[in-house]
Order: sequence, then C-alpha cells, then structure tokens
Amino acid sequence: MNSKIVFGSYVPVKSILHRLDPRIKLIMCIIYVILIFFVNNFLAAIWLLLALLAAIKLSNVGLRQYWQGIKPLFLIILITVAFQILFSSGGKMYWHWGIMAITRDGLINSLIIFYRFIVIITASTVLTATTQTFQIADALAWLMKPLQIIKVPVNQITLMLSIALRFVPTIMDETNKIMKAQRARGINFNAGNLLTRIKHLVPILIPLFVNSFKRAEELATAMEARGYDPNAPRTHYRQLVWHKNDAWASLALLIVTVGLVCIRIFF
Amino acid sequence: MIREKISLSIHEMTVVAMMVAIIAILGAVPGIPLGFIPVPIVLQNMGIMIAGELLGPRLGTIAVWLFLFLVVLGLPLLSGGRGGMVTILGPTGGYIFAWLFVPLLIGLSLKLSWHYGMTQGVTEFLIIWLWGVIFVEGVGAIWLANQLHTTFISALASNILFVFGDTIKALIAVSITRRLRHIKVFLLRR
Repeated sequence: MNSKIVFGSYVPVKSILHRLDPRIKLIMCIIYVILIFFVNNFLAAIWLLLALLAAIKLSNVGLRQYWQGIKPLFLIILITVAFQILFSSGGKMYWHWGIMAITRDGLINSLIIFYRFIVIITASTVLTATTQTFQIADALAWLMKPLQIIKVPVNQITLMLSIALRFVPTIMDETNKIMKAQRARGINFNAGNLLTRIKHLVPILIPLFVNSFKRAEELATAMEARGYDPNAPRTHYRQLVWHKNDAWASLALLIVTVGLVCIRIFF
Repeated sequence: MIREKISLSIHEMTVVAMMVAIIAILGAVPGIPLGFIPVPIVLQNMGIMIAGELLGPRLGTIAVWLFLFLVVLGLPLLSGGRGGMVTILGPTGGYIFAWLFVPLLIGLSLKLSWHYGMTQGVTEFLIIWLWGVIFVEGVGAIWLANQLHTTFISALASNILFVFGDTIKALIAVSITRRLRHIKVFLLRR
C-alpha cells in the first residue's frame, strides 16, 4: 500500500493560494459549494466557472491533480448522468424505447448534474491541494467555536481529528509491517480461494487493532502526564494570522456572491 | 461558576481517534476480488461495523461521524481515493448516510441482547448483519432509487451483489471483535 493514497492531496508548491489563511480558504470552499446550488441559468454557471478557473490558475497546481480528484468519482457521475438522460421526462422527446426516453429536460438536467459534480469536486481539490491537513484542522477548530455556546465540546472534537490525522500515516506504515511480517511467516495474500483470502485478513486486522489501542492508551497516559485537561481552555502553538491577502480573498468571495445574485435577479 | 464536565476522558478520545484512523486505512487496503462477482470486497464498511461492536454505541458513533466529517471536507479517505461532498450527494450517498447510524444501532442492540443473556456469536452476527448489511443496503437503495429515478425494487436488486461480500465482512467483524474483547487493552478506563 502507498501512504500517498490517503494524503496525496496536498501539492507542496508556492502560490498565492498556498499562503492564504486556511480559515478563509475553508469558508470560500463552503460558500462556493452552496452557491453552486443557486445556479439556475447559463450565465450564472459561466460566472462561477470563471471564479473556479481563477482559483485553479492562482493555485499553481497542475491540471493532472484536479483530474486525480475527479477520476475516482467519474464512473458514479457517468452513471447518474446516464440515468438522468434515459429516465427523465418533460419537454420535446427525441427518442424513446420502452420506459426509456431522451427528452430535452432530461438532457438539460443531466448537463446541470454533470456541471455541479465536476465543479464541486474541483473546488474541494483546490482546498485540499493548497492546504495541509493540520491547517484544515486548525481552521475547523476556529469555525466551530460558535458551537461552544450550545455545549458542543469543540476542543475535544478538534483534538480527536488532529490525533486521527496524525496517526493515519503511522498506522498505515504499521499495517505494511504487519503484512510483511506475516508474509515472512508464509502467508500469501494474493493466492488461494475466497475462504483462504478471508482467513488471511485476520492475522492483519487483530494485530492492527491491538497495536492501535495500545498506542491510544500510551498516548492518553502521556497526555495526562503533560498536564492536559479536556475541559480547560487551551492556548495554541500554531497561530492563524490574518493578512492583507486574506482580505483580498474575502473581497473576491464577496464579488462572486454579489455577481451571482445580480445574474439571478436580472436574467 | 463551575464548568460543566464534558463526558469524554482522554483515553476515550485517543481510542476514538485511532478508530477514525483505522477506518481511513481500511479504505486504502486493496479489495479482495471475488471470482464470480464483479464487485470486490472492500473493507471500509467493515470498519464501520467494528466501530459499533468494539467501542459501543456512543464512542463508535462519534468515531464514524468524525470520519465522515473529514470525508465531507474533501479528504480522499473513502475506498478508491474518493472524498468530498459529491460522495454524499451522489447516488451512493445513501450508504454513507446510513453509516452514521450503524454503530449506534449495533451498539444498542448488542447491549440489549447481552442484557437478556444472549451472548452467543450467532446472535452477535445477526445483529451486525441486520444493521451493518441489511439496514445499510436498504437506506442506500432508497437513495439510489431516488437519484437514478428507478424503483426501490430494482435498486434493491442491484444491491444483491454487495450483500454477499457484506455478509462475509460481518462474519469477519464478529470473529475479530469477539477475540479482541478478551484483550485487556480494550477495557476503556475513565
């Protein structure tokens, strides 16, 4: 297994987007996805597409990376679009056979679905390609602060997310080691019938769980020894600092939103 | 004023975090091809079942919700490197939505069965199978039918291929969890 499978999203190049505060990037991505669902005509679609293309340009990330984000979901998109074309009704009918029919509304709806899926995936890829996972965790912690008013344990949630993200590569390496150790003891993971392969999962999974939970116990003990209290307010080593570029990004987001509202009103 | 104590201890938090990481890694493990069925067995939803069995209804649910929270943010943690909101909004979103409730249902059902003295492996397997396989496939089929404008029956029929693999995963999950429960490291301290 390749560790990059899980964390292959981040692309370490220099760009304007990479240097932005992760909070504004997270907010921009969320609002952009919401705006996608307000697109109701061609001009609005073009407007949001231009905004996305500008973000792609500013990110300095190769187009191959964006295709990597789309590729795993492309089959799902194609299936959804195909069903939309064949089983929708409304408008002029071009072709039909049995319960299947190609209609104008079906074609339009499938185009909208395709557009939305591609744009949403690409917007997410812009975020994950230009922001490291721990920065996303920091941004989340900041965004979730209002939830403390309704007694949501925000500190604990962000701590669990940070620990989980930190230990994915470690547990991945450990899984690889366990598999190699079991191979050295004679297990062939790629051979045998179904039952044999199923049996071979057990020598991987049980050590994986035992080691992980031991690590959890050791980590908890170490945290207690360092004076961590889940209920106490805490300071932050990594500070999120707002810069002038972040203000420009906020302005850009405002322009995109206002532009979309105007297009919806006047067209 | 005295601050209200939050329920999770440090150990519980680290255990939940490890479970989230394990679920993510199970998605990266390559699937086991079944010769006679075109869909390979992917282990990720087995992680969802084990979360409910091993951690119980409360911690298991927290682990799965945190995992799906990361997925929605765009991290490619689902099997095949998928992630982002499209995985929730697309035709297969129903299965992922059902995952939110699987650990709660499994954990509560197990507690109920233990309360009535039913501690056999068969009972445990039936509980895992009911909530981890049938419930997930049912919810997934409803959403699939809605998204693809087809009937619930035909969506259910298309799920039959997956039920076989999921049943095997339920068997593995029960087998592994019953062994793990005897190990001291799985006793959660508060």
